[in-house]
Amino acid sequence: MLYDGGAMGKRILVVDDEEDILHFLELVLGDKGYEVTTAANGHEALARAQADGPDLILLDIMMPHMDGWEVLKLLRVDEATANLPVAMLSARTEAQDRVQGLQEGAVDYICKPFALRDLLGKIDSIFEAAGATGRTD
Amino acid sequence: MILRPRSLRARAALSAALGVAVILLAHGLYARPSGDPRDLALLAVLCLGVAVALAAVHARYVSLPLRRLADGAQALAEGRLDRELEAGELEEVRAVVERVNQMAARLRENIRKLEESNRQLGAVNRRLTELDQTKSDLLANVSHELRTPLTAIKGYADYMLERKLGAITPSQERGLQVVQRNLERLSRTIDDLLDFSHLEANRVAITPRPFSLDLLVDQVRQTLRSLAEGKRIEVSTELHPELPQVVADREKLAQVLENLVVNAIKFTPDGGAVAISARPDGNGQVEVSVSDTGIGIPASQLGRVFDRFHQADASSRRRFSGVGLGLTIVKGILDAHGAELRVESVPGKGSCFRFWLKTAAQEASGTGADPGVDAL
Repeated sequence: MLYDGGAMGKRILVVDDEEDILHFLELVLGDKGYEVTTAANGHEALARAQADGPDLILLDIMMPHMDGWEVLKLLRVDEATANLPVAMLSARTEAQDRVQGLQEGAVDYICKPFALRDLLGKIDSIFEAAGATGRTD
Repeated sequence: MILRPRSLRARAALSAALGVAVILLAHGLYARPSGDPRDLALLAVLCLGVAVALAAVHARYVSLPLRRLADGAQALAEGRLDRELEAGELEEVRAVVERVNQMAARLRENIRKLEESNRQLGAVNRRLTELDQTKSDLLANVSHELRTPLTAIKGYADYMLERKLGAITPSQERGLQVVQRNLERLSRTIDDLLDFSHLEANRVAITPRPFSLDLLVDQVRQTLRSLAEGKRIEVSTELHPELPQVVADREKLAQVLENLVVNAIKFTPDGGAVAISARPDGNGQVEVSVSDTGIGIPASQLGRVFDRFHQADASSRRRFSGVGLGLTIVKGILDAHGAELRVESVPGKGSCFRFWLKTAAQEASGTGADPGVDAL
C-alpha cells in the first residue's frame, strides 16, 4: 500500500491522556509500520520529544495539568525540538481552535472522532510534504 | 409698607381702598370751586402717580414669586428634581408652588422606583446572560466529552471492519456496520449540539464564495442516500439548466440542505417523495426549495418550527427521533448569510422550505451584502 512504503522507520510520538485512544493509535500506526512511542501527559511528551526526536508528534489538546497548546509552545522554544512537525489531534472541532493550531505552528489539525483512512492519509501527506522540503532523517 | 396682604384678592382690595382714599382726599382738597384747570391737571397727575406707585408695588410683589415659580418649573423641566421650590408669600402662588412640589416629589418617587426596577432587571439580565453562557459552554464541553469516547469506539469498529483484528463473519460484519452507521448518527447529533451552542453565542462565522449548486445538491443526495432508501423515499432533484453560481459558505450550505432533507425524510411516511429544486427567481437570486409529501405542519405551529428543541407536539418527539435543533441551525446559518427562509405546509399533504441565495452576478453588481464578513 501507498503509505506502508513511506512508513518504514518513521517514528511517531502519540500524546493523549485517554489510554484507550493512545493504545488504539499505537496499534494502528504500529500495524502500518511506524515506530510508535506514547506519552500520557504533557511533561512526558516533552521528555520523550527531547530524548527520541520523533519524525512526527500527534498531540492531543485537552489534557490535565499541561494542555497541548502549552506543550506545543514549550516544544517550539527548545532548540532540540523546535522544528519537529506536530499535528494536533483533538475533540475540539471549533474553527478557532483549528486556526490557533496552524498559527502556533502545527502542521495539521485532526478532529476526533476521525475516520481511520483520513488519519492515515493525513499522516502520509505530512511525511510526503516533509520529504519534499528535505526534512527527513 | 406696614400692610402686607397675603393674597392677590386682599391686595386688590387694599389697592382699591387706597385708590378711593386718595381720590376722596384729593377731591376734599380740591373741592373748592376754583375752576382752575391747573387744579384738575394736578389732580389727574396725582391720581396717575398713585396708580403708578401702586402698580409698581404690585408688580414687585406679584412678579417676583411668579418669576421664581417659572425658574423652578424650568429646573423641573430640565430634570433637576432635587430641590423644592420656595413657597413665597403670595397665597395663590404658594398654592401652585405646593402642587408643583408635590408633583416633583411624586416624580422623584417614580424615578426612584424605575431606577430600582431597572437595577433589578439589569441583575436578572446579567444572570440570564451568565446562564446562557454557561449553557453554551456546557454544550461545547459535553460535545468534547462525547467525541473522545466516540473516537475509540469508531476507531476499533473501523479497524475490525477492515479485518485488521482478524477475520470476521458476515453477521459480525453486519453488526459492525450497524455500529458504524449509528456512530455516524451520534456524531451528527453532537455536531448539531455544538453548532447550536455557536448559534447561541452568535459565533457563526461564514466565508461566502461563489460555487455551483448542482455538485452540492448531488453531494447531499449521496450522503443521505441510505437514510432515504431505508424509508423507500425517493429524493429527486430539479435544477434549472441555466443556474447561476451562488455566493455562500459551501460547507454551511451543505449543512442547511442536509438538515432540510433529513428533516423532510424524517417527517415523510415510507414510500413518500422529497424534492430538492433550484431556479433563478427573476430578481437576481436563486430560489432553493426542499419539499416533501410528509405529515405537514399545522398552521398554528408554522411560526415555531425554527424554535430550538421544537417539534410539533411532544408525542412526535417519540415518533420522530432527533433533538429538534436541525431547523434552528438552518435558520441560524441562513440568517448569517442574510438569506430569507420561508416555510409553507398543508397538514397531511407535505411541507416546503424555501430560501433565497445571492448570486455571483448580483455580488459583482454591488447590490449584495459585503461577502467575507463574519455574520450573525
